[in-house]
Amino acid sequence: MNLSGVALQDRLYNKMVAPDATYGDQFDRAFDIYQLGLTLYRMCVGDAAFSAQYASYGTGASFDRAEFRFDLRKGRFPNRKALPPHTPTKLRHIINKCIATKIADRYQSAIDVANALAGVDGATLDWRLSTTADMRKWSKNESGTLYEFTVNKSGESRCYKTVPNGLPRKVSAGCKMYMSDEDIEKFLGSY
Amino acid sequence: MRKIKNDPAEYTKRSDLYPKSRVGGDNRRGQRSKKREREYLTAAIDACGYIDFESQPQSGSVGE
Repeated sequence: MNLSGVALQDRLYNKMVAPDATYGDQFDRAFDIYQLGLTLYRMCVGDAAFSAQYASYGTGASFDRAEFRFDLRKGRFPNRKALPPHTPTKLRHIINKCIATKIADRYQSAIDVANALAGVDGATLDWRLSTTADMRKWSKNESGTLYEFTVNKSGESRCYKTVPNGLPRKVSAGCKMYMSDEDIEKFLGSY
Repeated sequence: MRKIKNDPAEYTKRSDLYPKSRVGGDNRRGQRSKKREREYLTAAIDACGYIDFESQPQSGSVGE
């Protein structure tokens, strides 16, 4: 603890570390705001995808700390472009602002983050994403009606709707030979 | 009973509780520390991925 009564942090969880913690030892709310943003990011991309990004720097003794630190400071870790297409634009902005590499570019208080989060809304929020090696699948249950939307690696999509006690029926707007992430976002927002 | 209106403008923020000099990590927010720069690369990391700046660097320390 220093003369002003501020405790220095002697341990850091490397996976969730803020770039400023790699070059300084005095932290304030900006550090917490970064970690909140990173937690939101991790929730949006999924823990497996986030951990895969971290593991790309190596594991065990071969973990490349210098490379990780470099990417962290340059804003390359975590990969800002990896957020799934159904992430609402407002939420993307909030996450990106929380995990800005420069402290001055982040929210400056927790209440600012809370107020910004209160504004997140949109039809895409109810979809749940699960991924396999060659498929992304979104599903949602709306008053008993199950929607399942899949997009394979080449962008081909299929969507089925199943009412209670009914058989799956094709949703033609969701069955395309190719859908870009922008198309996916639009489609998910319209159902 | 008199109703009290909830007004966010009336909330007390943590940053209002302390004089400016104490907010922002003793005014040293974002300041570079050569010691920390160096230690970040050499400090020991335990099996759970925590970098420990207090203990001595260990050979063959793990990333996580």
